[in-house]
Amino acid sequence: MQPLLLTFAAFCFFGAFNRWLLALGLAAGISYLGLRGWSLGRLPLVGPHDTIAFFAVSLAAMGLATRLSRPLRSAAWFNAAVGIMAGIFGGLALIFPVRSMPMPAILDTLWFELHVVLAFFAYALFGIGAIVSAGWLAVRDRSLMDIQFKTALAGWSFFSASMVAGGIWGYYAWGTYWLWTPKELWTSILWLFYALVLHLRLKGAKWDVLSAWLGVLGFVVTLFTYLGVSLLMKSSHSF
Amino acid sequence: MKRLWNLLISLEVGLVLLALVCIVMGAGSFGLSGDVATALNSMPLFVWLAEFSLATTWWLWLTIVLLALLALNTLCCSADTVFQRFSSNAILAWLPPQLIHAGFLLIVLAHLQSALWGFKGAIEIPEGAGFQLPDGAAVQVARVGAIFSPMGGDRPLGYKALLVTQETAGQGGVTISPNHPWFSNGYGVYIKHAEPGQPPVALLEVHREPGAAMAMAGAVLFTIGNLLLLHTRSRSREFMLESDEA
Repeated sequence: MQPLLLTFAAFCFFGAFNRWLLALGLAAGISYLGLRGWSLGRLPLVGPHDTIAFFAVSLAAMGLATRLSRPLRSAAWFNAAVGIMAGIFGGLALIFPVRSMPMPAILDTLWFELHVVLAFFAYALFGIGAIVSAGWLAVRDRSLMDIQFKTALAGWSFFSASMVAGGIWGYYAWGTYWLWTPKELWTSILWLFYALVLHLRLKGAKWDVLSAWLGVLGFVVTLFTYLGVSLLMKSSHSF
Repeated sequence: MKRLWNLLISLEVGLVLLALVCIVMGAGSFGLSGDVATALNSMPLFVWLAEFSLATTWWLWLTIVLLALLALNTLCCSADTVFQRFSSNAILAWLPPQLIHAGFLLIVLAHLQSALWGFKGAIEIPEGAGFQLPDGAAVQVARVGAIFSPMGGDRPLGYKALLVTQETAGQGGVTISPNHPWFSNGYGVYIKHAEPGQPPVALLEVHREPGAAMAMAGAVLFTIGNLLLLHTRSRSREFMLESDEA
């Protein structure tokens, strides 16, 4: 199965200039996740390898979906950036060992799967938003800020739904919908951060520069929430 | 008075408060480890805040103050919008954000309720022994066991316990396991761990989250508002793009 993930990473990274190669890479990535899920008998969402692979495939999928919007249809830079980003994370997933352990009973619930899947869709959209923000900073085309707003809003919506699912899961699993762990704190920080980004939009075009920089910074906060907390901080709530 | 109201409904104040909450929570997260963190998750928030020194709890006090101000700002902004636009026909334009705000406020209130009146307790109890819930209900732990993967392996995936109470005696008791607690009068009994032995010993936790129902109501309102907002914003954008092209 690993060659499929390698194909995904390679097609995304080296074929980033071409949307069809990116689409082929995405097909390989989805096939990898599907086969891995089939072999495990569940969604592959536990451990660094599986979650980073899921994140990378989500990035490519959200990137291709965002590319359908009019201002990005002919933007080769966007295609390249999405492909490189997805390829890097696909490659990173390959570094971590593949663990095929049975699902701990505490994670064996639909609420956990919903929580994680929705969170990764949100992370991916925040990543796409960062690319679009960087693009706006380079070319200053206002239509890009509309797309940045849409990706932030859609990502924030997925993330909010993920938090709701996580709260329900936590209530049944731990007896509380909220635990004071670094992961949960950073999850709240990320949610509040994007609430800020969305509200900043109401200030109008004069604030686009700050909005764009926050769009880029948002992905740094996203990566810290996802990877930084798990790798650098002690938290019972990590991969 | 007008100046105070303008301050309360100010978008700029809301933005600054959002940024400050992020910064303070971020700073606090780096000190959240060890016994302090364990204690924080084993008792209601306000009990923890009263027990530990300000040198440890400062960031959470500050977060609470900032969140209270943010909640006030949210409430005033929504009230102002509703008063100004209630009679307007374009209800879908102004209602979704207010539903999201209402959901957020309910969730903040739910946290406050749980922080003030919640209950968290843990007990190590051998198979065959009993304990009492805080409301006096007697619970007997009739059996303690482990859950193993059907594919084999010697490490348990989780633990389970058979609880017998006055309520459940008729049906031979109720089995609790991870994600399947037992609830009685607002108290939930959860199994966290078990140790094999003669007899085996279960680590149980008893929780009461008085804010859970309100948090759920908030989450539902929030989600409805969010879906409506996504619907209206995508439609208005498409309309704008088509207008631009025309």
